[in-house]
Amino acid sequence: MEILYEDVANFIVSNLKFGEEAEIRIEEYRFLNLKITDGKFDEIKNIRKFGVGIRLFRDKKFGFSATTQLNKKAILEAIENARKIYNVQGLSVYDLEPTDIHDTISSDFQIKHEKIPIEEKIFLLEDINKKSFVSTTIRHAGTKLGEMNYHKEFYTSTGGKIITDLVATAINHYSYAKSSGKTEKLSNTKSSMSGFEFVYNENLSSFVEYVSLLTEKSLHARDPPGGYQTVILDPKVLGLLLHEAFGHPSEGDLIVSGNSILRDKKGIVIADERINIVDSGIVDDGFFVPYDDEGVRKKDTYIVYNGILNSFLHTKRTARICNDKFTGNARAEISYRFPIARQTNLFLEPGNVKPEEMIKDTQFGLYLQGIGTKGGHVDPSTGTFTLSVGPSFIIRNGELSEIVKGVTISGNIFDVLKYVDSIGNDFSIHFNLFKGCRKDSQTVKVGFGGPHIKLRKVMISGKSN
Amino acid sequence: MEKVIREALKYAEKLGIDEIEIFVKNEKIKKMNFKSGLENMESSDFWGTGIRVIVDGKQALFSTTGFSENKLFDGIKIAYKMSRVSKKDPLWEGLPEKYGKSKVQVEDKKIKSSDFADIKDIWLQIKNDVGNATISRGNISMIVEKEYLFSYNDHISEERTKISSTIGIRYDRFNFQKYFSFRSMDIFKENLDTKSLVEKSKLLESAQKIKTGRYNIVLSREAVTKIFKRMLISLLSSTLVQKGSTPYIIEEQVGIEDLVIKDSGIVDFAPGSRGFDGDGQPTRETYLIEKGEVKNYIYDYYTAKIDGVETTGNAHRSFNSLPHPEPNNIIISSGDIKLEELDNYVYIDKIIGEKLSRPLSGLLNVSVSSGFLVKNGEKTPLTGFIIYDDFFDILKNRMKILKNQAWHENYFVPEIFIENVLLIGD
Repeated sequence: MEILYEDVANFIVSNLKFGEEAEIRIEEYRFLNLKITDGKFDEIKNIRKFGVGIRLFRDKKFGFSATTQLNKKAILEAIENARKIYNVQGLSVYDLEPTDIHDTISSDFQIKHEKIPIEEKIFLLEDINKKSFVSTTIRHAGTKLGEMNYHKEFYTSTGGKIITDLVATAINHYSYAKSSGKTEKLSNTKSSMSGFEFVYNENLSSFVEYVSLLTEKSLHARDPPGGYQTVILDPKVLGLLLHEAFGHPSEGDLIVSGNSILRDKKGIVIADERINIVDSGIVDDGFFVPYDDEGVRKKDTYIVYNGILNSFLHTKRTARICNDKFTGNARAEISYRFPIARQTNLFLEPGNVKPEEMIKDTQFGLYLQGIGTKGGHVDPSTGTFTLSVGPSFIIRNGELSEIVKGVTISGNIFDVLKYVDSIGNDFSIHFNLFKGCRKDSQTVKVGFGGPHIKLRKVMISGKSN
Repeated sequence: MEKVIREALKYAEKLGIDEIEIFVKNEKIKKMNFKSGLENMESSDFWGTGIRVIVDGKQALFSTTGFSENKLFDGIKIAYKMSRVSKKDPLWEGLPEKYGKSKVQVEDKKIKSSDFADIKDIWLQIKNDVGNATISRGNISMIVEKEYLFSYNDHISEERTKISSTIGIRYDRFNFQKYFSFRSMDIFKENLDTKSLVEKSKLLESAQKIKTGRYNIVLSREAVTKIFKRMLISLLSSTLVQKGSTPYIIEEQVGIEDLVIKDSGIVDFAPGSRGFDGDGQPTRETYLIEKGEVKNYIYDYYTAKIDGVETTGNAHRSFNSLPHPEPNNIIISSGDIKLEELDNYVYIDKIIGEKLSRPLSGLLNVSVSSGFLVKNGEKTPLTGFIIYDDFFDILKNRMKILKNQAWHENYFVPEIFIENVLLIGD
């Protein structure tokens, strides 16, 4: 007999002692991964995760405990552990915000993943993979299909109940080229909050073909000139830069612990006055985060407004400590992990310059592309960040010229967005269903992006020409 | 549990499954997050089950959190269905016929019997040690994990303990953070050097940028770990070797004469030690580099069969992944030089972005978030510059090994001196 998660929540509430309140998260995550290599089906993986997370509150104290076992004994043990914790832990600034929110919300989708037989998925994917062999230079190619179905239930002993369903589909493709003793491998991912219609509606053949063409082109490319350069970042590179350089240092736990260089900079100019950086839970092509894992509705949060540091990304607790409003940024990898301050979808608001105009106005510079990026890294305490970009182009006399190999760019949070030349009028957001952002051993899906942007001074690693 | 799994194995046999492996992991975790005040504590009882089936040479993996009779039987059915659409692996030679365990201490009674009050005591001790400095961020986790592996042929299990902690210290503006992890409480406490973190965060206050140029450098153990892991050790994995994706060839001289690197899963209470690996094979000690020559690769059972050699006991797995070769503990032998004997160099303390380097071509490209210039014995703190150089040349011609090994994560390594390195700054 199927167990109703609401009955589990009621069971937990019925076992609370006088004066105790509870926040209960019960979640079921399913991920199917199909892999095609060199035109043939290679691997299938079916991952399921389930867990119950219980946060107990009493007299300004709280304790969190979790289990992956759905039986009365395990759940009673978890309640008892949460009780032990709040007794040892002592006073906290955080207590349960009484909530009576009732909501059921789902990301949009048309075709359920399970409606399509695996054999058909393999057939479609093999066909897509074969399209990537654009020439004999492409020696190997791998295509992965990812399907996520994530059901989340959130309850409070004060009557709150939020049910969320997330459905997403993604494709990842790599091409490996070899010629004259040189090798190159590039990969790219396209993810969408949708059902299997993603595979039918998107032109995935062109997507894999482009990865191969770029791999082939960059095989014999030179390294770009190092040192400070004028650069145009595409939305993916910009998004990654914002995520590393502004998103992480704005996270409330790093702020209250004094671990972020932004901790005492609220109200101070940290970027060009045209810069508006937003964290939003619901945005086209982003990952869908209507509520956070403390039951707070995720609203748009302006981290930087008109170049001024405006807000941090908070859990309820960090918001209390900073005397700020809740921002809905408490997120956990899954219900058996403790929610911490995380980004949702971070982007720069668009400006009014066409990207092609930006290129036209550049005598010499680099057009940096995100395809093939290996991600980035930031040390929030010093503000040093670094990130990799994929194969890119030299700009000469207002035109895209030769292709150059991917490089790393690095810099400091306070410098990078001070030298803005122009901001594009385009806009796009990306998230990667196969990967995520990792912090404190928890991985969550995040989106990032914005328009194209032209920066006058960015440090490119490499030997200067 | 054993009874349920035995029933499940019988059921698998009835279905017509040729080979099956059931991997179950339980982790009981007590964790505390803190700074100068206590942030929160959490407890979790995690179970994960991985079911790998092979039918007619076709393999499938089904995994789920939790462990129950229903999940096990349902999982076997799903894995069986999945295997029917899977690809036949022509290289598959079967699961191990026998499991075995090496003798190594991985279970500490002190960790097992510790409770939240004991974790709180460690935090109070750390608070006391750092004096006037601030604990900007920290956590302590105590984990008791048990792994079970069952097949038609054999079964094996082991209980292990672990205590790990990340501690960040801030003197004024800058933080200095470090990670500690061991399988024994006493060894953890011996290595918990919070006082040096205070000194380092103090030094960072007046950090400057460096001028672009070539410098002699000394890598901290943390920097050695990150760079060697990314640029060398990851490319000694047999999986990459069999794909032809490594520049490191057996019997080739790739490093200086003094370079000796071994993998070991049998160092008592070390972070990466365990009695058996993810294939149920005993862990051991394997010399990877001797006198600068590549001597061996890191194997699991599957890749070892392909090369016709013995596994090195390096299969790693989680409940939701198949076994794959990874290091247990990496040990770089110590050299003769003492750090105090050196002068006129840049000490590289913390680096970020090592994954952005290109190990296949040897391009080392990392950002330094903290370090210091040592000239005539005086230290000038530095931040925000890039190391950009040829790692192959460094390894073969320009490095000297210092005389002071210590643990960083699962690496027991000394500091390393390197001549004439390109640093990109102002």
